[in-house]
Amino acid sequence: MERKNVTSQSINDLLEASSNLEKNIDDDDHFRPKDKKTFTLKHKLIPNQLLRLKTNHYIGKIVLATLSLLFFIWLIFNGYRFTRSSSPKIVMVLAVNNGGGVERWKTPEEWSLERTSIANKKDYAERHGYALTLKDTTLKRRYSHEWREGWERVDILRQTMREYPDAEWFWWLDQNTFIMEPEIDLNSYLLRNIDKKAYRTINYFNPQDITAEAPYVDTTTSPINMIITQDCNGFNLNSFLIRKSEWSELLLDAWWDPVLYEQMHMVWERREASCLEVLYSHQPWIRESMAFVPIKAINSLTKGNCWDQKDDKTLFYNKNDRDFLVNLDGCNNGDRSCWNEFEYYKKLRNELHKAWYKFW
Amino acid sequence: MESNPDLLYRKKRKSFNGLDSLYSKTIQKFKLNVQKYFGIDLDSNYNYNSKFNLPVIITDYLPIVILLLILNYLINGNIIPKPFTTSIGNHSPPENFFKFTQSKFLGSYNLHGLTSKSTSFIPVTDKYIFPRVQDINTLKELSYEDFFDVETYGNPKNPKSFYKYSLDFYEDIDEDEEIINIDKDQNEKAVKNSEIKPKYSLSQQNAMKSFKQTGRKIYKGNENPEIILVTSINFENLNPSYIVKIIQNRVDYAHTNNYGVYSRWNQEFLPMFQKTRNSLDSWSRIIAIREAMIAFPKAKWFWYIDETSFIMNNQININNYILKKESLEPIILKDQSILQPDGFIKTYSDVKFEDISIILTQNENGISVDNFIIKNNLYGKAILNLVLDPLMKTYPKFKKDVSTTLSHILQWHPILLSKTVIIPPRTINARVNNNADIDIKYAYQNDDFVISFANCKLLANCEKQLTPYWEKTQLKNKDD
Repeated sequence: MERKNVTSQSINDLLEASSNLEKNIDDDDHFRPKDKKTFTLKHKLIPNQLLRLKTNHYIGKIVLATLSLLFFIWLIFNGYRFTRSSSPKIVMVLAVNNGGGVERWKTPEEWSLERTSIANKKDYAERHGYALTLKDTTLKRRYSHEWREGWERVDILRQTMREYPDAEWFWWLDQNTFIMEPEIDLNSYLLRNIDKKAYRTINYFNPQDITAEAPYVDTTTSPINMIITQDCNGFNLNSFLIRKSEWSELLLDAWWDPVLYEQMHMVWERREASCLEVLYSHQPWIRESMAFVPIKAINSLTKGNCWDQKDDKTLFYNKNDRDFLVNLDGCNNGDRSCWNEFEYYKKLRNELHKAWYKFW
Repeated sequence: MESNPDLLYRKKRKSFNGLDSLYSKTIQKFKLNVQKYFGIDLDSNYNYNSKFNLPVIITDYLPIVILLLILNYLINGNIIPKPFTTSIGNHSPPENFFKFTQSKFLGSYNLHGLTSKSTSFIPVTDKYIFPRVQDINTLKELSYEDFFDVETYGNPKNPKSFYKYSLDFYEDIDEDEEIINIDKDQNEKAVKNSEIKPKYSLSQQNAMKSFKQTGRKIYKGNENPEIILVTSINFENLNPSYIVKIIQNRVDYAHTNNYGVYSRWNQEFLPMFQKTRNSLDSWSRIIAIREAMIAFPKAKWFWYIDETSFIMNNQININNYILKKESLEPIILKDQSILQPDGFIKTYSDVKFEDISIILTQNENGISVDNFIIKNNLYGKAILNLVLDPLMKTYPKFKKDVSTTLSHILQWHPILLSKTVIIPPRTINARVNNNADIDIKYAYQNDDFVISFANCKLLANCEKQLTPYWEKTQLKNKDD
């Protein structure tokens, strides 16, 4: 069999040579030693390195296999980074810039923990493909009467619902919250089959002594449109969810009424939360669509809150329970320090999520 | 030849010996490396008797291990590296929060009305639910203390007493048990029968019983009327014959057009409004509609037609007359001020028929609550309950007239305003014009659908005003 030099051959000759090659694949002569200067077609088509692998260095294959295995393992744990939905069903509404430095300069610590809080939510939103929107809660003149600034969140929610017309659930988060378990998917953890998970009555825990049974309430047919938690003082609105619906539009509209406010603004210590309690107790259509979950599910308190109930284990964050979110509300009261508490929970979060195979 | 990779490969392929040799070669190479780097000869028979082999390894390697542990302590703060101290199972975050939930509080519960329990409804198949008219005179004999329980507040010298619903409003209290207990002691029973007169006569007892039972009646028939005419009636300041005529008027109309009727005594709602001193006649109408929504849950529209209004033409079907897209859209008053004549807040101009949940008319001052229509949906229920909010009831400006509350809510809640339309007054709320002093757009003219004697209660001449119109309709019915 005559061997052809292909360095200066045309493509037609190349094709002919390849067909010859197929014919003679089992021929012994094919493997005869070659002149160093002669390039065969085989050498042209397959890189030298690969040839060498095939022949003697199967260690290379093991390395390749290990690398690809590692890659797939990485893909399993980090695949969420590639699964983005264009229109997220869950929108996280994070209230930032509390006060906005209107009354005094913001300290470097405040700037820093604002960044920490945002990064925490951003990481969570990216991991699960939710949308995150930051809402500025600077002190504004139109909310300046007495306790009226609490109702700002009502306006923010309404505006966010217009901003995300395709989203279904809106998760309100105050700045002083910290997600401790970012792996938890809110959909499977809470929202899927919510009817079976949430309380439709206030009987389970009723610190404000709201009448448990009211006329005209029918929870068998009305869907759950709002999920909130209760602490020792009553409704807690640091972390709650509301579904975009006719009902929620109407609730956000009814939440502020001058006649109610005029009579009660000196009484309502917790502003819009107190107002919601009143609406809940008087308005059957609001009661029908509201549901409660245990506070540890989405809104665990820290020891600084609810001092009188400090032994009640159902309220407070516990790292052994691996609670989802810790609520640092009131972390600047008294001798508490938001900075210290944020740092503590940040460290704790990292400690809890240290991979078991890592030495440091 | 040996060094040529191609040929070597070829040979390996030909026989298994080649593979074997490769294997043994690898093993040998491994053993050599072990000997070279670790100083252990794997081929030589291990000498188990040697006393010095193991200690030598320990003395050689222990310092290195200790050094590593110290280094780990310095860097991580733990002496023993983390992989050896933690288990994998500890590290999964929770998938649910069931361990915090008390399952006995889960689940839904059913609805009930103001004075009913979900178990104590009285199902009726008659689509005309109204109180017993023949009881009016008996009811007038009784006092409120006979209907309600009395709760006393304040200091003993100057107590304030308020009425509240007694237990037999919510369900029938079985008196048989008491009777059986008395039966045990025959003598005692005999004494009681002879000496003690019952507190109430039989007709009074029946009247009280039916007074308390109306609120528990719910419609369970098969006809499921789409439109319900709701009227709340004050039996104290109206003549019984007038009330009979009014109720008969509703029933006749509903019968002709296959609608339902729901009527209640205003006095039934006294405990709701007594403490806050709201006008009973004005405020009762709102709660009567809300109760009607419990009694007729499948109805689409509730037309509140008050006790001083009278339907003049049974042949006008309100469904075709107002509650149809083609008939309603042309008559909507767009951009109409809520407060007349020139209120700042106006109704929307682009309300779609599907969104309309509240249909109102106006008089000279603004919203009129004599005749209006509410849809049985979220918005309809919400506006009724917002009006009935205890904080609305306590607001001084609203106490006298519920229409002020209604117009306040419409002006401050744009979502509800966007579901509201105002239609010309003469459609369902034409007022009688005895002295010819009313603007013609509000005044009743011949062949209008409804006539309203709005001020007749103040003048205490409702029946007198009604009589000519009632006779007119009677003649008409005879002609038909």
